[in-house]
Amino acid sequence: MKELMLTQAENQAFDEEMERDPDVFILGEDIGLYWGGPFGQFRGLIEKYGPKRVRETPISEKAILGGAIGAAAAGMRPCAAMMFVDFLGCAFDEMINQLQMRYMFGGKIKLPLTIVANIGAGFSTAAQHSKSMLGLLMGVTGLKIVVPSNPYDAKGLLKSSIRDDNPVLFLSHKKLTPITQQIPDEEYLIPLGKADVKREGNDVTVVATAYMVQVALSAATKLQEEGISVEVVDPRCLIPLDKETILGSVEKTGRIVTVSEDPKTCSAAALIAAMVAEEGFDFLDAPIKVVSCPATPVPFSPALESYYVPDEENIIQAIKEII
Amino acid sequence: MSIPIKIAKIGWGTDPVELVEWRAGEGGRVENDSVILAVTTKKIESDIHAEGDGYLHIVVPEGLKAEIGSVVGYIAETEEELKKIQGENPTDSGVTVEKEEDSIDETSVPEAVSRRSRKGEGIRISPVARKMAEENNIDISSITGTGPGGRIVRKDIENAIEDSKKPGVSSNMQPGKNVKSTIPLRGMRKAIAENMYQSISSSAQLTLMGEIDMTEVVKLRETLKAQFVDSITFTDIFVFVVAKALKEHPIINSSLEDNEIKIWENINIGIATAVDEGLIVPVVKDADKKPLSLISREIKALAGKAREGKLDFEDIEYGTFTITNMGALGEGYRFETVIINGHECAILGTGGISDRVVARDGEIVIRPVMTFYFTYDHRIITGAVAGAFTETVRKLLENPYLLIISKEDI
Repeated sequence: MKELMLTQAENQAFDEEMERDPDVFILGEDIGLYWGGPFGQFRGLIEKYGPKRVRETPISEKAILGGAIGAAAAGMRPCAAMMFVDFLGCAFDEMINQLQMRYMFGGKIKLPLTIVANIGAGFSTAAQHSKSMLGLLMGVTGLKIVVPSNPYDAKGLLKSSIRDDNPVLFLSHKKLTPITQQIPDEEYLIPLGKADVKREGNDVTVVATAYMVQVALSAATKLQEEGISVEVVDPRCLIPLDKETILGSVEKTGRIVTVSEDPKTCSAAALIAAMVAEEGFDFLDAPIKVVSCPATPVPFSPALESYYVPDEENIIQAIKEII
Repeated sequence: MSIPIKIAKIGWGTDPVELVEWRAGEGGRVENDSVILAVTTKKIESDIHAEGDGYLHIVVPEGLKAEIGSVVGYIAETEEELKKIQGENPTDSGVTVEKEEDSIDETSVPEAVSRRSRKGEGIRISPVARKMAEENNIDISSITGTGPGGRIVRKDIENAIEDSKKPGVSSNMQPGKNVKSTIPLRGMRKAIAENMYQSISSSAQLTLMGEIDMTEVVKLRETLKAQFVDSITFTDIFVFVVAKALKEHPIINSSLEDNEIKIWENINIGIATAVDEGLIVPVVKDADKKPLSLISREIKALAGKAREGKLDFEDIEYGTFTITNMGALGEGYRFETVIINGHECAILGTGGISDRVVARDGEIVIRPVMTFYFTYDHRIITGAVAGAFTETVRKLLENPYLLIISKEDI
């Protein structure tokens, strides 16, 4: 066991998978010698595997993703490092028209491709570096979306993502970076599409994603003191979504608050709420509450930014409205 | 082709029947002629049989009521067909009334019981609470919600279910009065409760009481018992005698319906019969046209079926008058104000026979005496008519030789 940060756990996952499978390689901006990625998740890999397998690219997201799709179609297992999810806009043709190749060609090719990117606000890095775009990306179709909430999950999920024969979008929240966790020395995998109950409770279910899981957990701890028992469910994957675990929890508690860090219109939280309204209506003992962001670009001002991102108080207030 | 499972029209009854138990589950395999559904109405349980082999699709689940003529389920021939039917006719929780053209009864305009007019519409209640309330037959209009904004939530329904198990005691239970056990008011018990309350609250009932010297009837019965293998009971004799008396006083054999008094052609005498679950009234049809021996046999057969809970609808239908004989409770000089059964206009109760001191021809003698109590609907029957009828009954019982010749013969 080793106490690791999220980026270190991800680094281990890349290392293990590159060692295991020579077809695995990474391409992206600033992932090599000088930086090892904006949070250091690729540090040391270029020294170990060389510039052919850790390929520094020009500043062109279109080239990174287009190249990765071509390599995957040709039989390689690329990881496209997009830095911040906001930059996916530059490669949106590849996202919405080319990634769907496996489906469009009737399954004749595999597309074993992982897109890794950082998401989230909280660093005053303004709207073009702070988005999460979860709900927006859920509508793209043709790719799996993985959103870990801690280092342990991140490592196991990233390894499964790399081994998956379909395009996977792996999104790490920046604010999870300083969180450390004991990571086992032996190898482990976490299957995609399996939610995790991060905390058990009886009065209300909170379904939260990525960093919001941590916020929900501290809200749950606070509410415990007031005698409100909160169950926190982390879907871990937005696609495929583990409906069974979510609906099972709602059946138990009768109440649900969904939380995600993206604008409420078409947010991940709104989409999960819609699923519960449709498939779990008879379990509900109260209206569904959706906690997400205002319909504005992420503010640069630290004061406005902290107002923009859902916090403990927002979650507690939502829970109290339905209990 | 799928076969719809319909609630058949049963006698006079136009009230919805309650679905007691589906004998197969959703999608379950059923065989032709097997019992697939138990229903209850008017104090009686009845079985509905499958009219073909196939897979069952339930439209109206157990515990809910269904209108006469409505379709409560289907039998699909194949599994594909089952899926199709399930899609087209989802299992309902609010009773979808699907009336077939040919079974619409002019006289019965069923209460519209559809999703739209479901009871409690507009009440703030959570989905799970509404579902639980429906499953447990809880009337949500009587519940005060404790959720945010006064919404009825799961906890409120759980409390209501808990309360419904306590007889006559609401959630604010009085201290010093604890519930030992509860009996749910449903099936026969519910029917009795509704019928008795309906009867006494919708007519002008009063009771005429008196006593009858049973010396000759006791003798008659002993003589008959010595002659027949089947013993003739007092009840048999009462039915025989009352049928003759009703023929003489046709107004007693009537009902007030649709703003007119209907005097019935048939004299069908119901006999109140105690069973484990309560009370049921099997009917001897055309009692005035039957010999005593046949009446006796029929009553024995009906009583046997009643005890085993196997009475059919036709056994309890079409009564025009009822006799309730309390003699079985044993000796004892007692009176009771019996309540008229159903839409009839009178009922005759008979008490036990006991030796009493009476005056006869200026002498004090001891005679076997039976009390009787005749409850009648004063809207139809005046005191004089009631007196004349009971006088006929008394005369025939005190002097059964009169039965040899009827008035019509003279």
